[in-house]
Order: sequence, then structure tokens, then C-alpha cells
Amino acid sequence: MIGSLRRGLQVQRAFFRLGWLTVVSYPLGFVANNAGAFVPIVLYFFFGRLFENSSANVGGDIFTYLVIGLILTGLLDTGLNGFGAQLDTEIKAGRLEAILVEPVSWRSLPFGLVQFTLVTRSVLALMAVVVSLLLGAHYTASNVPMALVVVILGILATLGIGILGASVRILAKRTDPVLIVYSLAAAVLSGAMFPIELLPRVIRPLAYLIPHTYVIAAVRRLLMPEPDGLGGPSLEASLIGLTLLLAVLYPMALWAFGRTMEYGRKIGALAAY
Amino acid sequence: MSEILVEVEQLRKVYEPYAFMMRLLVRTAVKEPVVAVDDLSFTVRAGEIGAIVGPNGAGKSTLFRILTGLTTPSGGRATVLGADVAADSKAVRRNVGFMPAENRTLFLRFTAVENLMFHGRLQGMSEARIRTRTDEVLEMVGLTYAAHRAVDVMSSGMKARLQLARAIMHEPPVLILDEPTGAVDPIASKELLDIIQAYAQANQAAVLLSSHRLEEIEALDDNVVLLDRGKLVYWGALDRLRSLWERPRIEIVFDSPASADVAHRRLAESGAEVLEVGASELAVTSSVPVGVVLGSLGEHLASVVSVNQSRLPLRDLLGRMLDERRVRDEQVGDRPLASPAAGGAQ
Repeated sequence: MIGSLRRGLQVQRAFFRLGWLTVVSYPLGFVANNAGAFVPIVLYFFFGRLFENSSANVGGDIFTYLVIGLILTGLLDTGLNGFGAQLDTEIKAGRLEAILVEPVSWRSLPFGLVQFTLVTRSVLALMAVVVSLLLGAHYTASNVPMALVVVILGILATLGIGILGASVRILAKRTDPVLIVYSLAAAVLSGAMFPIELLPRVIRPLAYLIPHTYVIAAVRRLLMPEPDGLGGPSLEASLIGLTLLLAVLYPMALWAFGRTMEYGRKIGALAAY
Repeated sequence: MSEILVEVEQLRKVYEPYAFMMRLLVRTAVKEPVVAVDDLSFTVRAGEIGAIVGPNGAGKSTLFRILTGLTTPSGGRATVLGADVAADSKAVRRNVGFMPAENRTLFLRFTAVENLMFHGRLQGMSEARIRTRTDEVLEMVGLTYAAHRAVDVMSSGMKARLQLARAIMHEPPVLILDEPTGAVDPIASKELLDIIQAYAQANQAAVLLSSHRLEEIEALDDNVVLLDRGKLVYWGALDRLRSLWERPRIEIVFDSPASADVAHRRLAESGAEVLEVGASELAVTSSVPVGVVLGSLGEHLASVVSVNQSRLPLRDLLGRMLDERRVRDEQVGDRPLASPAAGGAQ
């Protein structure tokens, strides 16, 4: 038992170190890629000033409203695309075969390969919060711990969707169509940039099928200065919806990933590029 | 006799055309079922090196993928230290050190040490053991001086040695090496093979390696697994293969063209293959000893000026076996031509 735990920790350590070494291998590229994340905050600062007299209920401050949507979309995107992107890198570099012949449970690959990106994106999110505070955003500090719990649940749920998408990528060796469709849908349906009440009534129910909607709504209700009257699901409904999605998506994704790997073994797709 | 570490029994792999849903994702060239490996059976014992030889498309890579758990067999079974490659691939992967044919599998921006440490951690080795073993394997492959050098500035030979170091890092009892010397010069190639032989001897490891360089297989002088179009043509010791298949070429120089003519007739009557290579020189290919060939000359033996017997290059020997195998396949069936004396006949 202890031996297995030690071995598992060593495997995760190997992947974390892999992420770190990749970053220091291309330092300027890493900084340039991530520095771009702060530009939209400035953009939304001016949007906030432009629409500060909007009649829509945005919790008392449109800039904070938009920044929360922006930061959460970035974090959830890590869960959604982080594993697939890393997998893509290994496939293109020709290293996936060498990783798969290591005595590592293939179900540990998703978290292993995405963990470093999750840490870096979390640090970036924290920095984005600081920048937004400097630009005048307002957050309810006492609810931050609960908001973090919601964010962690959301990342795990989206990681589940990401694993499902990556399962396709393992076989197709290309960016998977599942995630492309999902990402486009999430951008519109999640309410990241506008209340979901503005969506046509016909497609509004679809918003409740994706974790983004619950995470963004819950965090806004927890952190916005005037949450009363905010649209979207209530805090309780968000927590329940998110928990249900997580309970279904994550195990299903790991199961599907395992099945895909077995299918890939059968058809000989794991060593083909 | 040493323990069997790798056992392959009636192994078969058929690549089927992709299902409709898969074809929507990715195009496939497989329109009909492709038999990549067909009824393979052989064993590799502790301390043995089994050289997998065969033309392109013989099934070498598929065999290695099955043995490393990357693909599953369609029939038969293969075990590594008793663990089934299909059902218990994680245990198999723990006991196998694999060196892929391509050196792209290394992290090119990382140093030699960083590459080895990554592998060691995935193998679940402790940090202390990883540090000790990294130094050991780098010394074994002669890369200590380049321990902290990034892989992308290494020569092909250095990359091959680093890949070998990675394969033996966790001291596996089984090594699977896919064309380990494919990208290196002959001198570096000999050094690599020396390291592999030393590892197999010191650790009583079973080694399976593929190579298109048949002079290397000859130098290893161990077991050969000859494949052709997925089928086993020969499995066993190289010496035995030679004794079964080699028909030495004997070049005989006579004192005059007339003597050579007479000798030509005599030798042909005795059933030898005779070729004129000069006015007074004949080349005789025969499966009988040179003394018997010369004895068939009778009183004309006195006209022989010189005799030279040469070994058939392994390339020609295997080429002949494959040619005869293909002819036989068309005529009678497809059983292996021979199996080793001690390895268990098929």
C-alpha cells in the first residue's frame, strides 16, 4: 500500500517536473503566452466604464462581473483543454509511445499531464485578481474559500469533459471535434460575459448542461458586492448541479479513457501517428 | 538451462479495417484485414539475446508493440516473466526496458540526467536510487562527460547511448530494443552491442533486438528469430542455422582450362552446383564437406592448384532461406523451416 502510494507520488512528481522543465526550456515563450492573459482585463475595464449605466443586473459592478467571467473561463479552459494540449504536444514530438510503455496507470495520465498547467494557470488567475483589484474591481473577501471550493469542483468537472475529448484525440491524433464544439457552446451558453437570461428561451436550457454556467453563477453570487438579483442558477442550485455533473462526468471520463486506451491497443492506434 | 523470461506462443495479430466511427475521425489505409503476425512461437531465456531479423513488413515492430503492451494480440499469447502482455501489461512494462527505433522519444531540450530522472520517477524508483543509478548507467554507456548536456546538441550515437541508458535505468530483466544501432556509425554500433551483451550477461537479462545490419547479428552470435510477412521462418542459434542452411562456396583453381573442363563434368555428376569463374577456375556450392567435393574429382585431384572455401554472408544465407520459404509457402504450407535443438520444436 505504502509502496504503491510512493510510486504514485513519484509518477506525479515526474509529470510536474516535466512541466517545469518544459517552461524553463522556453522561458520567453512561456512569459509571452501568459502575459497576454492580462490584456483582456484592461479591455474589460474600459468596457465596464462604457456600460456602467447598463440596466442589466450585474451585481453592482460590471467590471467585476466581466473579470470573474474572464478569469473563470481561463481556469475552466485549463481543465477542458490542458490534458488534450499536453497530449497533442507529446504526440507531435513522438514521445507518447515512450510514455505509454512506462509502468504507469494510463488513468493517471490526465491529472499527471495537466497538473503543472493547472498550477501555473491558478497563479495567473490570482495575479489577474490582483490586477483587477488595482483597476477597481470589488470582491467579497469572506466568501473566497467557498468560491475556491466551487472553482476546484468546476475544474474537475471540466477536466472530465477534457478527458472525454482527449480520448478522441488519442485515436484520431488530431484536435478532437468534441472539444471544439463544446468550447464554442460554452463561450455562448455559460453566461461568462452576459447573463444567461439574455439567451433565447429555446436554447437557455442547454446552459444548464455545462459546468461553466454553475461555476460562474456561483462564484459571482459569492464574490460580487451586490449579488441579489443576479441572473442564472442560485448558489444552492449551482452547487448541486456542479456536484451532480462532477459525479457523473469525472468517473465516466476516466472509464471512457481507459476503454479508449484498450480500444487503441486493439486496433494498434497507440503507437501510430 | 536458464529460465525462460519471454515466451511467445502461437501469437497472431490482425489489424482490422477501422469501424465506421473511427473512419469519421481519421482516414485509414487498411481496407482489408492485415495479418501482421501469424502463429509466432519462440522463447528467450535469461542471458540470451534474440535477434529479430526480417525484411520490412515482417512483423518486427508489431511483435515489439505486443511485448511492450502497446497493442494486444488477436490470438495466441505472450508472457514476460510469466505476466500476460494483454491482461497484465503494467506488470510487463515494469519488467521491460524498451528502446524505440526513433530518438525523438527523448526530451530534446532536457539534459541526459533530466531525461533519465523522468524515466526513473515514472518507474517509481526512489530519489536516492535514481541519483545512484543515473550515475551508473551514464558510466555504463560512456556518457558521464555529457550528463548535463542537452539532448538536442548530442550526436546520433550519443542519443542512441542515452536511449539505451534509459532502457536499462530500472535494471529490467527483459530488454526490447528496436533497431538500437539504426542511426549510428559502425564503431558506435559495436560499442552499443558490447554494452547490450555485457548487460545481458551481468544481469542474466533476456534481450530481444531488431536490426537490419546483419553483420551485427553475426557478431552477436546468439539466437535468431527470422520473420517474413508475419510468419516465423527460423528460430534458434545462429550456428545451427548455418549448419542447416549454409552451403559453403569452394573456389578451385586448376592447372589448365582442360583440367577445369573435366573437373566441371565430374563435379556436376556428383550433384554439386558448379560455376565457371575463370578459364581454369570453378566455384562449387555444395552442402557436403570440402573433402568429399574434392574426392569426387578422383584421379583429377592432382590437377588442383589451390582451394579456397568462403562462408556465405548471413545476408545471402537469409535471403536464400526467405526465397525457399516463399516458394514452399506457395507449394505446401507455411510451417517454420527449422527450430532450435534445445528450444523446443514447433
